[in-house]
Amino acid sequence: MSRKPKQKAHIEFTLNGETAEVAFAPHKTLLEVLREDLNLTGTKHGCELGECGTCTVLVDRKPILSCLMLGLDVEGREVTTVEGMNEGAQLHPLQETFADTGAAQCGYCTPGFLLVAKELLTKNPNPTREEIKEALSGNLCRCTGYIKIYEAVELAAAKMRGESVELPKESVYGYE
Amino acid sequence: MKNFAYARAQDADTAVQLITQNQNAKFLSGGTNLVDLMRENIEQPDHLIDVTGLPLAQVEELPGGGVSIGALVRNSHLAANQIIRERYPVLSQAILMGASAQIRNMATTGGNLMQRTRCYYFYDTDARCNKREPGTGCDALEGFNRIHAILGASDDCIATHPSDMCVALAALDATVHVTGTGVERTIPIVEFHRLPEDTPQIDTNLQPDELITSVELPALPFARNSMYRKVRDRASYAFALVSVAAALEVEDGTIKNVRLALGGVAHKPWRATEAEKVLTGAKADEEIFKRAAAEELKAARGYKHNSFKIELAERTIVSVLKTLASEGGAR
Amino acid sequence: MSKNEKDKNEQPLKVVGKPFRKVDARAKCTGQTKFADDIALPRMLYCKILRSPEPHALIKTIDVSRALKLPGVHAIITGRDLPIPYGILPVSQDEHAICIDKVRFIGDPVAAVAAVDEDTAFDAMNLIEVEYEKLQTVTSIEEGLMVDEPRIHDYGERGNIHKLVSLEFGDMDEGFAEADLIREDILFYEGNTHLPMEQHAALAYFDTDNKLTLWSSTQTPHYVHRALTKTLEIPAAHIRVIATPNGGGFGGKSDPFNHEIIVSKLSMITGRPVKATLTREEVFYCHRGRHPVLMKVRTGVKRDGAITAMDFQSFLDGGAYGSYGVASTFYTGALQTVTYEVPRYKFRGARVFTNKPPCGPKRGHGTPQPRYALEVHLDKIAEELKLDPAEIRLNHLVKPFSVTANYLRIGSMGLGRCIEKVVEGSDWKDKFSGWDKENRKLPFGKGVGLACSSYICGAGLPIYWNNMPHSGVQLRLDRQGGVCVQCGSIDIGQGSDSVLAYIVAEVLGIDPFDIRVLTADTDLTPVDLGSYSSRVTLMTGNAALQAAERARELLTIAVAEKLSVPAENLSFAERRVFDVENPEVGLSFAEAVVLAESKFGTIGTVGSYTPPRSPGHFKGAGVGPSPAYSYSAAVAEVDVDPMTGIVTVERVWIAHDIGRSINPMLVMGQVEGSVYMGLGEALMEEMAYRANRNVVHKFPSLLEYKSPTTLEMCDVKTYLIEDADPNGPFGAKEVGQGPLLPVPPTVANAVYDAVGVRIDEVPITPEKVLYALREKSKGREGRFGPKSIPEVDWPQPLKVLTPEEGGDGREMPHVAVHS
Repeated sequence: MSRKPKQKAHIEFTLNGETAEVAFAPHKTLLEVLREDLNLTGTKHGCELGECGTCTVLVDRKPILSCLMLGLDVEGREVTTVEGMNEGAQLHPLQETFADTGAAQCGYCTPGFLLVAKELLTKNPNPTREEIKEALSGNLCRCTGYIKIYEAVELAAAKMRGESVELPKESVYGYE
Repeated sequence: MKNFAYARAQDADTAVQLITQNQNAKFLSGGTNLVDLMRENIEQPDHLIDVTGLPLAQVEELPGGGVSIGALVRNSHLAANQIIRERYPVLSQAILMGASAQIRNMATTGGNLMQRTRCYYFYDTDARCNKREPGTGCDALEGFNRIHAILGASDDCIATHPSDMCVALAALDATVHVTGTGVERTIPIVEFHRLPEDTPQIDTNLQPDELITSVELPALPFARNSMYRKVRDRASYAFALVSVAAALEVEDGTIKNVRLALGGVAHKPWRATEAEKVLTGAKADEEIFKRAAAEELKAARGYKHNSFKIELAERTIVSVLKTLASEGGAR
Repeated sequence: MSKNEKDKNEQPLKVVGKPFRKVDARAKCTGQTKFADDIALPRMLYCKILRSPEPHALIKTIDVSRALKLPGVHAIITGRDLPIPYGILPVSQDEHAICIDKVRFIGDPVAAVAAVDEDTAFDAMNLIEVEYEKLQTVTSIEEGLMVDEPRIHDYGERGNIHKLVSLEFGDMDEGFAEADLIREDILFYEGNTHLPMEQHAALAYFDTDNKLTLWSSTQTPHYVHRALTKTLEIPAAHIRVIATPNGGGFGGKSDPFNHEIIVSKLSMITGRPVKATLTREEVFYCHRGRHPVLMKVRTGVKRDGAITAMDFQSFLDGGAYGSYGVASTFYTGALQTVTYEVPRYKFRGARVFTNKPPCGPKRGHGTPQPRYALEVHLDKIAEELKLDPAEIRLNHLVKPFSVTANYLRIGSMGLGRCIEKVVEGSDWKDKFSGWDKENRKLPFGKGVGLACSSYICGAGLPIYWNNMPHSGVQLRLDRQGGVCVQCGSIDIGQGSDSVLAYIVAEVLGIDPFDIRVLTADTDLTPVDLGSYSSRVTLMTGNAALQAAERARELLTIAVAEKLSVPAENLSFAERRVFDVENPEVGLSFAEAVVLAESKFGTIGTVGSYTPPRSPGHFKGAGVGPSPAYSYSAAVAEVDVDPMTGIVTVERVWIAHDIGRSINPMLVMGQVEGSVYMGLGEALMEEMAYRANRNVVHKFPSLLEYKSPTTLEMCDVKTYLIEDADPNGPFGAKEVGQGPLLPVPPTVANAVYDAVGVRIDEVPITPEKVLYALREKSKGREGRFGPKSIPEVDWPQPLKVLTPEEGGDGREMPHVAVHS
């Protein structure tokens, strides 16, 4: 068995608002390029077969699975990862509300959920609970039972609409 | 994943040229199935020809009321298309019930047609599989075959086709436009996919040098009264155990027009012609729906773990027709 | 909120009971948390493990020569390189990091490669040639009991029986004689797996000082440390284990794993860092998940539902190795007695070896299966007696601060209030149709069910016998007001790091975010046994409380002296130490530390926790005792589609007796997450195996192993019952596991209310519902489930008189048994 010497692919694309250049083995997926060649380990892997949503990133502002996209395919495109959600030290409202509500338990699936939710709120600033469920149905979480995640998305949506709201008491302390 | 050479094509001719010039080459579009299979070392192409740059991403109305869907139209885009939602709701519904939002954002119309089966034994390289390695045998026959075919299977393969979209296309009498070396042709959707027979390694009647360019939906006014129902183990990330795509036109209590197709039951999207024969011209009531469903499933054969699908398919057909009959009647 | 002895000087609690953010929340929401696979070191090699495609075989030859020649391959090891066995329990040291001469399940490691990159390691792995001699496989509980040869292991009771347990508490004959009704039921709980979103990963570096550091996604760094010491034959002092934050554990990362030992060995050989990240498929082979358990329960009851005697048998399919299995076996019989009064109790349990991935502890360890059996059984008893399912439970609750027939000491007991809450909240009385299903309250297809449960707050005994604390905490106070809390516990997402910070902050009157939490590093933190058995809040919480109180004591002395205020007048709050009678007299926390450091020298304190001794002294009394028990009750409302058999759980009302919430927001998250996981087990999750070769995992993928998505998750209405337990820090009890337990039986009972069929086997899949409905429509019993249990030659039971009978918790002499 002979191995051809690996000639690296070289691409340029927009990563979290900045121009990025990277060289990598051409068969690598976007997930691998991000984690291994760009050291952005915020994007996680749960299966690497397109079955869990953990590795979700935004490409041209749409959520996709970075484990099923070749790195080569993002040439010239715009990629957003969890590292690009906050602006400087200022967290995105979703990051704030995920932290506030305990929507991130182990935190492993969190980056994927955050990015899908970000796109949802861009399209729909006032989603219903059902719309949130539908939008997040491509992301698996094993810790939360999703409920705190819904609440975090609803809170962030309200914040982004300029409303000041808090979680209902029963979401924090349970029902009386 | 095995290494491969990679080339991008900007037009169909170049793409076809590249695939004929290179041994063991594959077209790559959304990658949601091919990359997955490559990661599992089931597909090991030496060359990938990336066709995502081809100008085939439009949904266009055709004179006469039909619609042309470019092969590179993403599933999410197609499902959200206003014309599709109004005139062919079954198609929009079927797409939205498949995979997940992220995958629908990646997957293309052409790629969806080219999906390979999700049979466990096809994916398990330690198992025997005639589709993966012709001549080795089929471990599904005597194995855990809950998700397998009940119609049109052979002793060489009992795999099912996993697509939801294609079931809707089958009900809608879609045609597939393809281009090959110097030749363009159209293939009716029901002839696009094939039954396994003794060559289950071949999924479709597409030739190796052919590229799908578009899918055409004929004008079908009564398809406004159409729907897709999918029975599955969970409501996201699950292929159909059984699914039904149907369009129905009832006039004065009589079935004037009907289109019916089943998913999750065969090696290809299953157009239920036997049932359609029973239904057309008959009085639209539950009894005839049941008779039609039974007629279609007469040829069904269950295996150890999937016999439940026969009854489930019958019941799902009846329920879908009932819904369409009452909704169509209300219109 | 009830006052507790811990809040001294009558200051209201400032941190405990408040919904603070977790201390690591920002890191987790920005992708900055470093999980094991996120760590990369210069010159790091990648490890791939070759796993057996055979379920049971002798390894005849292994040829690695071709693989070694592949450019980029640095080392290949086989079983001979790691000859010393290990295992989590001292009685089950039956694993080798790499199999030496025999493989026992598909997925057992046979060789491991370290290479420059993953692709090279993968290619090399495929060049290793292994010749196997196939052995007959053992694939089920029945076969495990019947097939004596070939043995999967050469230890255990006999043949392929790993463990037999037989315990009897009280006069069973008398108990059954008193009964007005005796009922028997047989149920089956299919195995399932943890499915943490993070695949296990481990990175080892044997550095130039000959010291080994292992970063690993483990719930039990201390036990991994011990296993490395044993298998690598290097002194414990030369090994440092750092548990990285776990991307979900649920019990699945509680064993020492072969990949942890393998990367360590490969690093020792190559002198370079070596990392292994398991694929999702490999995670299914690691497993250690819920045991499939077949159960038979026979109970005698009075007309009012009072239990007179219970005889419980369980049969566990253990898979290929011991793991925690002996403990799991005892757990399937331990906690039946802690919810309702069971005056006489008999338990027999059998665990068999089979050629499948090993089972172990999953959330609720060994207790969700018997709880499901018991609660469904009780529902059927209620039906026979025409009693309301809530009433039959409420009327016979175990008493708080009592000792059960099997010598478990109950502390606070809030189950009654839990039942009342869910009955009221769910409008149970307006929904439950009673036992006359003709006069329904909800339409056919809709129904409600009720079930209860209890769980331990940490195991009373450590895994290896010793008299040392189960948890240790060190506090370091620096003169600028910073506090560092160090503890061996590992945050697996449940928030244990935050709990440490909250408790210390409460005692020292500072902000939790002033505290640096340093955990799970065997070089830097005192031992904590690990994040399992719902022990961390209670045990590390108590250790932290003690360390913080000792620090406060030192500061109090120094400040009292400086301010000339009586020590008992001093209070700590809002980063100040002040006179409660004269609050403006005081100084900042940082100033207090300076005073204390000036007086006593460097300020550091320790705290430790050891659970109270259990009243049971018989062999087997080690499993079940706990410092406290949490309680839960749940009602589920379901919709059953008779056309497809699909069960949709629309809502769950759940009340959990938490003792006291350290952080209610995190408690809510644990309850909701437990309901979610219970729902998955009730409806779809199964670690099942393919039919023809009943040893290959049916679904080694996230796609085919169905877990609930957002679209399956139900609404959850949660009630927290706070009745402080004297053994808990600030009265706190566990919440991570207990609320899962009532969910599967609640759903099963609700399905019966909805469509009148009993599904005596989880998961409750559409096919099973359809089968039972079909049977019922044919006039047969509307039931899906096992009909018999295997014959077992049980050993003579170990007999113990109950406390009621005047027992002392010791085994009765055999002669006395028949007198």
